[in-house]
Amino acid sequence: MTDKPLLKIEDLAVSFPTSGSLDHRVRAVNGLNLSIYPRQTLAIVGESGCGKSVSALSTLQLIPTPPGRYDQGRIWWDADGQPCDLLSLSEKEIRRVRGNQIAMIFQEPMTSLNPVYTIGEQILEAILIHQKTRRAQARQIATQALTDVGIADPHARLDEYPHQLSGGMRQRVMIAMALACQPRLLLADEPTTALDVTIQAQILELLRKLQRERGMSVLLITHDLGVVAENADTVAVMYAGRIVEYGSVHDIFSQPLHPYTRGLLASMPVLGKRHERLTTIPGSVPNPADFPSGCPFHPRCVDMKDDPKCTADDPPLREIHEKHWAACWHTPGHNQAQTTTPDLSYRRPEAAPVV
Amino acid sequence: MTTRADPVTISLRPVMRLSFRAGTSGLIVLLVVGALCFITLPWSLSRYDLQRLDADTSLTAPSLAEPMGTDLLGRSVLWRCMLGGAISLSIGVCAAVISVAVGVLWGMIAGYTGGRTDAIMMRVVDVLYGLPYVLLVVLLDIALQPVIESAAYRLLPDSLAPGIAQVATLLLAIGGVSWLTMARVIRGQVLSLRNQPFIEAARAYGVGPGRILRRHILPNLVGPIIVYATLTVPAAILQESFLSFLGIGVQPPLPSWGSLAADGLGELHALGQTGIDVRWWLLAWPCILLAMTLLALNLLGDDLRDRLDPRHAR
Repeated sequence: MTDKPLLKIEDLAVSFPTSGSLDHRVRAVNGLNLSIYPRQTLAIVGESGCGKSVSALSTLQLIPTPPGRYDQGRIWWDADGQPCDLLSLSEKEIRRVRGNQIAMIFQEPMTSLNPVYTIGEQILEAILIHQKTRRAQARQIATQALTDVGIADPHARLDEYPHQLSGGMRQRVMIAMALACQPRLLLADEPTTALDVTIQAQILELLRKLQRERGMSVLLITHDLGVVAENADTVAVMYAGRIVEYGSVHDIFSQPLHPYTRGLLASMPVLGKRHERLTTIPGSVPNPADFPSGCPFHPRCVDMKDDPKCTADDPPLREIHEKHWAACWHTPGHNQAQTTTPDLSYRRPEAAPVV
Repeated sequence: MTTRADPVTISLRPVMRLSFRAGTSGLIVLLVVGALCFITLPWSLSRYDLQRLDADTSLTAPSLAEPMGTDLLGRSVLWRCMLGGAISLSIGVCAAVISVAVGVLWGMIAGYTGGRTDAIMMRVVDVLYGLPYVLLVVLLDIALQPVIESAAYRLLPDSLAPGIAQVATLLLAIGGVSWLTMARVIRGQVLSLRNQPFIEAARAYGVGPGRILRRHILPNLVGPIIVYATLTVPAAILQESFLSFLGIGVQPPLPSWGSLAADGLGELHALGQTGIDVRWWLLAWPCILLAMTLLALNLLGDDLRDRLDPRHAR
């Protein structure tokens, strides 16, 4: 069996108008390339506002247009062996993909469920939209889905309202809803950010288990590198709407190439080590309406040392080592390396976490 | 589906829960007043245009024979209040229904579609808002009157047609103006609702726009809709009496609670043979009925809003 990517994003750019003027648009995502293979977990890492969520939402055409606009690029989806561009689908066609082939879970489990319906009604709606089954049968599927995500007494829970459940339970319900139609790809947009740490671990464990059982791919959006280390096969580090480093989880953690990735790793607190203060990356994410010239990271970069090249030209994403890409003029080997499209089919063996 | 034995955790749907509350008493008052006003229509209608002036029965205080007293022309205040109630209530309720139907639809479409459609729809509302209210009602009244009158003469016996046509025109005109506030309120609510994560989640599992509006946004609007509808009913009743006072609304001899109260106020005091007579019954009865109805409506509205919202489960 050939290993073909399940989802392949090619040169995607999404823009929004700045408030005040209609002509001036800013790119939230600019020339994004990535691919996800079956059963693979790709983590997109980056600070708030770097375009992580926009990338995931674009996959299902969930960016409101207008004001948003897909400027360029294609999102290839492997629809039973036939590649199909998700961005070119009509609203009606993409609706058949949403929830059915590609499901999504969100950051806020507290508000992602409609407060006026019971859990059961909402899971049933998700099922009945895509499957021609009777209500009674759909109810069985819903019960099974709740059992699968580890909710005790699923029959009774189906008739409860979202406000009667805790945050962790609601995120479980969201996962049950997303997985009820057996999607092939799950977009998890910071699924554990709003939960406390013990529940976080449970939810991630659950996602890993369900992914193994169903052979599903996961696009995991997060800014928590601990979550990445434990769950991801491949990692894309995003900054200011583009990928600055891409590689397997081992390569990213053991030899980070981009100064931004190194900064992120350095700012992770280490247990048992005494810190006066946590390390930070100086400055903050640039406003998309006013990106610096050249490399967007140069005002915050510790490697730059007033190199005129950094302020003048935007470094392309090049394959520095085999299957490890970085976009920085100062990465050793960047000037000899080839500019290739990042594409990595690595899946980690079922083993202990990397870090 | 198994039923569980544990009585503490059994959750009934809040809508079905029955308990005696302020809202229930409000509903009872409304039903009783409404039923009395409408059931007695055949009798009250047959008496309303008594033109004779009866000096013997003019302005008698409430007694066993006339429990609410009589007015200047010797007509029974009881019957006039019943007929006035039927007119006031139908104007209030119909205006509220029109305002809910048009306003909710308008506001939902504008709010959910957004962009240019929203801008155009809301500018229409702004322009109508900008016109003086009375002018708008008069314009609608003039525009609608011939149409409704000719329809009424075709459908109804000649004796009833002019009265019914008058009331129908008035309620259409009031309803046609009062949906503006509703549209604005609903649009605002939809704007905030459509950015809620649960709407995005619903879109992400493949729900189409029509279904999102119907199934996900509308049920979340029930609270504000009910509150504004229960506010619209009394507002419409008051507007009707204001318009009647200006001579645009219900014309005498047809009564309404508002015009009865206005007449009663005018004839409250008069110099009688034994000093100053106070004809309190002319003012008191319509006011008591009006106040009772409005209070009952507000209690009912509050209660309905709570009952339809699962978060208020008790």
